[in-house]
Amino acid sequence: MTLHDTIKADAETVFCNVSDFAEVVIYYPREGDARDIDAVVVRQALSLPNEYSDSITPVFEVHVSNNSERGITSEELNLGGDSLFFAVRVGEESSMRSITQLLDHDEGMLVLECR
Amino acid sequence: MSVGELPVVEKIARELLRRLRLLLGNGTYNTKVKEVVRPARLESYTPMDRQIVLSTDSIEAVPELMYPGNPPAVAKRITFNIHCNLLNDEKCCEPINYLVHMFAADVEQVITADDSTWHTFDENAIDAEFLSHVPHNAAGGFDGVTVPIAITYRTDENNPYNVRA
Repeated sequence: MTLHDTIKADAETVFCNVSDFAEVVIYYPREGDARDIDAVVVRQALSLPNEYSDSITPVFEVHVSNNSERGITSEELNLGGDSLFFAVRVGEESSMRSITQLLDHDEGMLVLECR
Repeated sequence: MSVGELPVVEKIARELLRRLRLLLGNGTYNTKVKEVVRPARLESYTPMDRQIVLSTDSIEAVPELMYPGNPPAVAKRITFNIHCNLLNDEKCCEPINYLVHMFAADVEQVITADDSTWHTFDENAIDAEFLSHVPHNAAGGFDGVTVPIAITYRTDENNPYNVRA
């Protein structure tokens, strides 16, 4: 196993481990069936979506592994309609949040912005 | 003294919201709007495709339209921002400004559908006009356009719940 393969495998088993900092969220693709995935959800401060907005929304940075089973693959991701279902605040009921941006990605991980 | 009543400005807002909601699932318009939102203070909505977010910009006094009397009639102009959000399928090949043009046109058309008296918003206003559209850029993760509409109305000076002609 090369270092590349090791790091890629760690994306799922280490960085998105629900025993540590990840949590199970539901991925709703624009087309296709929903599925449970493991994600690290960074809950950030409320902010304006863009400079033309005058109402704030919550912002989330979501880290998922780049795979089709417990993550989202970069090729299946659709920034026009894909959503994640999780709690806005820890302990609250879950709600649907649109995936608005792909902030960063590589073979192992995707970093998404949800609002 | 005002419990249970709505001020004139809120009656106008609700009439505007009612008209925008006519776009929901309406096959007679090009744009199939999916949601119309008046946002709450916090955490109220998630951006989605073909979504309208209605917010208030400013309420300004219009001294030249005020009437003397007992009580005097004061005139104000409220600007609503109609944010038309687009998060269409990223595999879609249609030019985004085509979708923006259609969305803005449908919003203006549904608001002005009642040709002769649309500007009164159910007899609560004396004038209304659309202002310059403000296109979004996609830096926030979604595209679209903001359609501002300025609506002028009069009330009693001492009673914003009573409309004056």
